[in-house]
Amino acid sequence: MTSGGPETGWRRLHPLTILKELGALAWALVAALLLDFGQPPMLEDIAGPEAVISVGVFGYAVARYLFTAYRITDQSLEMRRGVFVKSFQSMPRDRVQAVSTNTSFVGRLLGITTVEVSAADAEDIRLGFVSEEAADGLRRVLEKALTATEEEGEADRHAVASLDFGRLLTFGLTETGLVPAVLLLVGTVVVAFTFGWFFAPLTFGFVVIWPLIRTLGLVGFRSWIEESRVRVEAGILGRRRNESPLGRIQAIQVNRPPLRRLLGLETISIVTGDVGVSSDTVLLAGAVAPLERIGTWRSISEALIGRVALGEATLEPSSRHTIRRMMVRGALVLALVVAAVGAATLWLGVAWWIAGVVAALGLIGLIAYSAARWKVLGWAADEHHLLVRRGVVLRRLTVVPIHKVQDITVRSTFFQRRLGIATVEVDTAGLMLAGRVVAIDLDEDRARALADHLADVAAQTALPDGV
Amino acid sequence: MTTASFPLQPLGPDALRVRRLRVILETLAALIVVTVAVIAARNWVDIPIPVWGLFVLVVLGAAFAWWWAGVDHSRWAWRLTTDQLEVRRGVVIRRAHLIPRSRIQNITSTAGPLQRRFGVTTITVHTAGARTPNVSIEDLDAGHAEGIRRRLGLV
Repeated sequence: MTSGGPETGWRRLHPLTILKELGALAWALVAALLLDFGQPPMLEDIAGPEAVISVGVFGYAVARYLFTAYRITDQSLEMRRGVFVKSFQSMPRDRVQAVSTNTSFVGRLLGITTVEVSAADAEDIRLGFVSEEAADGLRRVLEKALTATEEEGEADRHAVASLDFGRLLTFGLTETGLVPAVLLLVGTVVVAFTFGWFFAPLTFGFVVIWPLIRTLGLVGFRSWIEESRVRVEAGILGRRRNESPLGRIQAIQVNRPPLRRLLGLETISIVTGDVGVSSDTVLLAGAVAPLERIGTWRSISEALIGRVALGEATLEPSSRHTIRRMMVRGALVLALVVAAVGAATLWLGVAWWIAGVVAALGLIGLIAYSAARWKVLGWAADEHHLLVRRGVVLRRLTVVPIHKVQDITVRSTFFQRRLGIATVEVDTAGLMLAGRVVAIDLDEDRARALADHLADVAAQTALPDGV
Repeated sequence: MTTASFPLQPLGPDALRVRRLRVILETLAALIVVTVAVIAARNWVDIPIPVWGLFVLVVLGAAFAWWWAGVDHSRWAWRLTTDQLEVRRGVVIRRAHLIPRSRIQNITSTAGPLQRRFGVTTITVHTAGARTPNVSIEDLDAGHAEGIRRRLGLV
């Protein structure tokens, strides 16, 4: 597999990569078949244009494989590829945010896997396929120097979380997507039995499959800290592994979707600067502890980013004016809905009072929601961290080490200014899948003071590469 | 760090000139497009609305854009303190961006022909933040832009 001597160190991918390249070129084969004006290829046609194109495609796939190579130097991970258009990609090793490997079931049988090395920009280095042992070698780009740790250091291992069968089941059953999915399925089953439209549940059955796949992706989940890297492993048939240096964690996100909150459970994830979240890793989406008792986020955060002095008890509420802002915003939407319902009832000539009922229920709901939202919104900051909480339904808590803050924005709309409130938004190198980090609707001067505090602390900590 | 010793600086008068000139050029372009469209359309169909209405719309839009350019221009402000860059902007939604100097990864400046003619430039400040490009100051005096780049050691 090694091309060239040890001093160059260039390595090729696994030969089975040719199959993947062929898959990527399948459109050319399809086009070749279509060239024949849709007629099925005859035996006597075998030497026709299809055959020529097929051979060409196969040759091109092999050439692409032969021209693709990577190497790990003392400073960086390098990759070169391309037959006609040559590309050379180089990623400094101290910029690597995460290394993840994804092994499909077939891949496991064949001993091949896909490795994705990400820095804090959108250009990830994707290597697929490589052998399991090459993947292990690639994981070592995260180590400081190639020669530092030759033997497997099993000593310094510190378990973070795992999922046994019972908790995996709980995780699956408390997936938020499951509730509407099951309701939809039950609804269509009822419709099927009433109207004899028997294939209806089949199509809606697919809606249930998504939470199911998400849960199956977490079979055998475990996460641990090893050599100041957080490592995650999950999957039974296909297997995903992910590891990130602890110093690259941009934020910690704690999610408490409704069903899980009801059972006193939460999901804890890390956010790294791995911007290009690929389909391979999106299932895990940084979860380091999928199912823990509410409050566990603190001990896990401390294991990952050091002592966190802030807690939910220390959260400061947003300005009460946020209730009014929410009600005005909601009232505008409600007015439109009521007007639409009213117009519909008038036009259809049915009970016009339905619009009134909608208005009353909507107003009650709006008042309850606005008050509940104010109770949930909260923020706290000290010399080291920013802690924000938001979300009435999908509640989430975010811990950001202030030295990871890249820039701060104080934002106020026309209506916010009339109420004397503003929102503080913080940007880190981490991509927040669950929304931005914001402290919503603080009093104007407090918002400004918080922004200044964050900017000051961030300015004092000069990071070597700013990430 | 005292922000008092670093007063917020507005955009210069040249920025407003550039913006208003842009409005004039865009209005002329819109008038030409409308004229050509009307002439072309007349060959095929009867235009059901009075043609002068279209021109009035364009002129009204131009008047609004002229006024808006002034309002928007007056909302821009910036300052570079010892350890951060602050940019304020926005009419309806007002924003104040704070960027610690140690987080700035690079600064790009671009200037179109019109901007060059008036000696202004648009600078964009990039950080490693996930929302990129992070902050830009449009139609900043070229001298100030150069000064910011120099003081940040990015020349």
